[in-house]
Amino acid sequence: MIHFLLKRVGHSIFVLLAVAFLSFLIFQFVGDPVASMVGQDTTTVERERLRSELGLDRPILIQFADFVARTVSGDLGVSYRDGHRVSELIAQRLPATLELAAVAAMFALGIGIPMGIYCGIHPDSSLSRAFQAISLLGVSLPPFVIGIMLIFLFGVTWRLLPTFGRGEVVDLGFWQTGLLTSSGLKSLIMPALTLGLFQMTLIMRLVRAGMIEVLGTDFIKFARARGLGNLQIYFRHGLKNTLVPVITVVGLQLGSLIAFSIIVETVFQWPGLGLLFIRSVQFSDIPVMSAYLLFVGVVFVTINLVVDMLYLAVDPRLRTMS
Amino acid sequence: MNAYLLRMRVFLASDLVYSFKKSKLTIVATVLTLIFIVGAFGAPILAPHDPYDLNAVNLMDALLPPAWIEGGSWSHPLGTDNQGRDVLSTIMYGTRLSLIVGLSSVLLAMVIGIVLGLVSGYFGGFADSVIMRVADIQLTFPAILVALLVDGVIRAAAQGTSENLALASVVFAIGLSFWVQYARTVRGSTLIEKGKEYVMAARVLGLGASTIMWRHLLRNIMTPVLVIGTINLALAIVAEATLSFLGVGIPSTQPSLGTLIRIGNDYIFSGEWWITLFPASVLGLLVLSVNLLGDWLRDALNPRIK
Repeated sequence: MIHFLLKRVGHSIFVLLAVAFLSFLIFQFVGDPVASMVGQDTTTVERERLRSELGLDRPILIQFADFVARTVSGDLGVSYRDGHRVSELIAQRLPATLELAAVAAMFALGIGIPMGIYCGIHPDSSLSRAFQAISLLGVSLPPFVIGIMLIFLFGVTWRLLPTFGRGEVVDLGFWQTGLLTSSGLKSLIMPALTLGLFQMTLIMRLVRAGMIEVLGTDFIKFARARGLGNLQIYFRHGLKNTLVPVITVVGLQLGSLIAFSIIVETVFQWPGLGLLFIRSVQFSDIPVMSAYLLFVGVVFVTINLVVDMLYLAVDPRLRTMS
Repeated sequence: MNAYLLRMRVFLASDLVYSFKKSKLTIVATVLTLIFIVGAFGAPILAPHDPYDLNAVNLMDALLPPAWIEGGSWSHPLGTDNQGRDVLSTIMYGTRLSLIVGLSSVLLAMVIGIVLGLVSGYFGGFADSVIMRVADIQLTFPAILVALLVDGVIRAAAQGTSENLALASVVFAIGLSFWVQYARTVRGSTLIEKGKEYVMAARVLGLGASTIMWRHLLRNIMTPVLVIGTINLALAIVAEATLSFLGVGIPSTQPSLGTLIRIGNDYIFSGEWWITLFPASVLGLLVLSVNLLGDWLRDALNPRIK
C-alpha cells in the first residue's frame, strides 16, 4: 500500500513538473518579453543588456529553477494587459469560479444520483425513458448551446432570472461570496445548471448501469429471500455497491467542471477564472495564460491523487494487493 | 461485373446491414447527417443567397425575422442577421466550414496517433515509455482545455493572425488534443498483432520494420481506429464550435457554426433570437446525428476499443 501511495505521489510530482516546464516555456519564449518591453528605436546593445538583466541569457534549466522558485513564493509575473499582478488577479477571481463549480457539482450529484437510482430500479418505465432522452441531449449538446437556450427561455422570454454577472456579492475580506444575497443566488441558477448538466447525465448513466447490474446479482436475490424490504435492498445493498465507479468519475469530473467553467463563464459573463483566461487568450496575455495553466495543473493533479486515495479507502481489496 | 454483384450481395446480407436496418434511430440519424452534408457541401449551388458577396447583401434587409413571422419574407426563409445576410445561407456555408475543420482535425489526430502508436507498440523500449508518458500527462486534462492552450499559444506566437492561420491553428489545436486515444488503441492492437504468424512470416522474408508496420500491421488495426474517428468527429465539431464561440477560433469574416452562434448571441436580448438559435439547433442536431451513427458503428463492429 505504501508502495502504491509513493508511486502515485511520485507520478503526481512528475506531472506537475512537466506542466510547470510547459508553463515556463510559454511564459519565457512565446512572444519575446524583451520586445514587449522596449520601443521601436531601442538599439541591439540595449536589448542585449536588458536580456541579461532579466536573466534570459542563462542556461534554460537555471531559468526554469528560478521560475519554479518564484512561482512557489507566489510571484506569477505581471499581466501584459492591465499591469496587475497575476497572483492578485487569480486570488480575486477564484471565489467566483469555485462557488460556481461547487454548486454545479452539488446539483449534478443531488439530481443525477436519484435519477439514476430510479432508472435502475424501473428500467422500462416511461419516466426512465424520458430521463434517458434528457441524458442523450445533455451529452450531445455543447454547454454553450444549452446556456444560450436557457438564457433565451428564462432570461429573455419569461424574464425570471438574470442573464449575466454574479449579482450582489458580500465581501468577507478574503472571499467575495454571492451565496448570501438573493440576487447572487438567482444569478447562480442558470450557470450552475448549464455547467452541471453534463456531469448530471453522466452520473445518472453510471448509477443506472450500476444499479441494474447489482440488482441482478445473487446476493440481492439472497437478501430478498431473507425477507428484507425494498428500501433496504435498494439503498443498503444496491446503491452502496454502485458507488465505487461513481466516486472515481465524479472526482475526475470535478476537474473538468473547472475546465468547462471557461465556456459557461463566457456565456453568462461570470467574473471568474475562466473568463480571465479566455480574455488572456484573446489578448495574448502570456503571463496570465501560463499562470492559468499552472493553476489547472495543480487542481487536476491534486484531484487525481485524492481520487486514488479515496479508491483505496472505499475498496479494501486494493489495500491488500501489491 | 459479376464479382462486383456478388460482393454487393454479400455486403447486403452482412450483420452490419442487418443491424442498420433494424435500428430506426440510426436510419433517422443517417438521413439527417446526409441532409447536413449535402446542404453544407452543396452550399454554393443550393444556398438561396451568397452571404459573402458584398454586392448581393443589402443592409436594408438586416434583422428580418423568419418567413412565418410577421415582417418576414420567403426570400429569406430563416430571416437575416445584423448585416442583412441570409441566415439559412450562412448556416449552410458555416456547416461546411465546421465539417471541414472537424474532418481535418480528426484526420490529423488520427495520423499523429497512428504513427506514434505504431512506433510505440512495434519498437517498445524508450520511445514507447516517452510517448505513453506524454499521453498519460495529456489525458490528465480535458481535450478542450488542451485545444484552448495550443490555440492560445499559436495565436500569441504569431502576432497579427491572418485568416488562414486562424483556421490552421484551430485544426492543429483540435488535432493535438485528440491524438492520445488513437495512439493508445493502435499501440494495444499492435502489441497483439505483432506476435501473430503473418508478422513473423514477413520478418522471416526480411521485410523492413516500416514495410511491416505500414503494409501489414496497419490494415489489421484500422477498424477500431475508424470507429473512434466517427465518435471523435462529433467531439471535434463541438470543439471547433466551442473555440469559435469563445472568440478564439474561426474569424467572423468566414463564420463557422460556432462563430455564427457567437455573433447572434448579442442579439438574443433584443428579440432577434433566430440569428443564434437556428445555427445552435443545426449544431445540436448535427452532433447528435453523428454521435448516434458513431454509437451504432461501435456496437455493430464491436471492436476492441480499449
